[in-house]
Amino acid sequence: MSRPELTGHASLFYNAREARKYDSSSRMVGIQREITERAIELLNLPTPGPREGGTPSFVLDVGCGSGLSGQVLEEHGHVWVGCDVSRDMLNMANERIEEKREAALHGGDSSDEDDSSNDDDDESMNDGQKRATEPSPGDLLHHDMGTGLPFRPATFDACISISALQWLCYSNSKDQIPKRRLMRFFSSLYKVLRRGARAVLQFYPETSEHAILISECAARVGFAGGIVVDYPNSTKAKKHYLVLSFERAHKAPRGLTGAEGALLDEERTGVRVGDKDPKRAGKRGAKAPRKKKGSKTKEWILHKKETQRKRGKETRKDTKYTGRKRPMRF
Amino acid sequence: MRLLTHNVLRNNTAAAARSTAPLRITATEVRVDDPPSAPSDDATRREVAFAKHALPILDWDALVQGAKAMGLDSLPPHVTPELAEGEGFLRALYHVLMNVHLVNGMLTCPETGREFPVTDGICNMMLEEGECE
Repeated sequence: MSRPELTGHASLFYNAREARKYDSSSRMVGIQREITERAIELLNLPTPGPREGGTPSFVLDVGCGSGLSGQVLEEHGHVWVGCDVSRDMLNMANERIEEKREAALHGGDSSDEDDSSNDDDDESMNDGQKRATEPSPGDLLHHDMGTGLPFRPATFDACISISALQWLCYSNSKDQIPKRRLMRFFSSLYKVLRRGARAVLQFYPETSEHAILISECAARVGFAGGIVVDYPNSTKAKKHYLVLSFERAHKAPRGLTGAEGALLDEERTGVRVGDKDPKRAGKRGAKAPRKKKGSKTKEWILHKKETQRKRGKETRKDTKYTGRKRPMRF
Repeated sequence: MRLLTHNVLRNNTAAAARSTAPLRITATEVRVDDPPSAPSDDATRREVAFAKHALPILDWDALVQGAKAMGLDSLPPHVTPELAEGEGFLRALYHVLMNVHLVNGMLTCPETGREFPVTDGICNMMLEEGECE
């Protein structure tokens, strides 16, 4: 199955028909909602959240598409501005916003809660329809993220992006250079975020080169952070989240593996990560010294190099740097 | 497009040379949403909290100018610290920021004259590659 990014410009792929298809597939909607929930979790916004007595955050949604992610942000109580390169997708988002507005003005139809009841805030978070008594705090812009974000410095409290960033890695015309567009995007993102803000950008890298290009551009403009990979061993469930912040001591949280039990309401397959790595246990020769299973000690490295030399393979000399503990990059 | 969004928007073409001047609004069609008749206490609390939170990032002059262009003259020219604490003021501010929508019109950069059309509430900020920094 060829990737959508290879077929051409994002606005051509996400035309009116595709936009409708995207929005009506409940599986698609469910997945995008889950990804958004996870992104919001990774944002580490101040607690309590707006629906628990806290203040709404002003959030930028890059590549907001038909507003699915915006909807989740609304359910959490935040105010958001979304931008997307596809006018057709934005029109769908607009439709949704219109519907909410109508529902809020006229007290909702039979599927919504009665407007006169005061507290609809302890309703379940799952059904977006129940929130329809409030108009949408979302706004939409027709904009290409590769041209840089057109906002004043230090505007937003947070930024999310769901399944959009990888589009920057492909050029659709002679004058589009991926690296330049990525640099423009990240340097503008750095400027428009307030200090202490975070950005979480979920994307689908086609190759590890793409993932590296993306993280390098982010690091080069000054962001700290890293890529969190959820379910790394499942082709279907695997998700990459680029988590960016201004904190130098930022440690990217560990990705989900499925072992910690479903975070959201679905069964996940994953591989147990821990001290016992079942794959390795059988193969390792009895001789190799290991401090604890799963880590490489200097002794083991020296032993391994010796074995390589004996086999006649070209091996670097052992110096004082061999097997030295390296400083953490992030 | 609401006044909050207009307030934080700027022209980021190379020609505008990092200017943070607000875009001038030419309004063809404006829509003001009435606030809900019986808002829940929590909704009111959130509105006041957000207005207070957003106040420091606003370009107040741009807000006054923008509101005027959309037909609203009620904003004070300056915000004093006492005013900024008042719940009545903050609720009115939330209303101005969030419920006044430019449905159709034009945003114009005062420095370069570059125009950004607004149709159906969505502002078109698409740039050509050649225009970018």
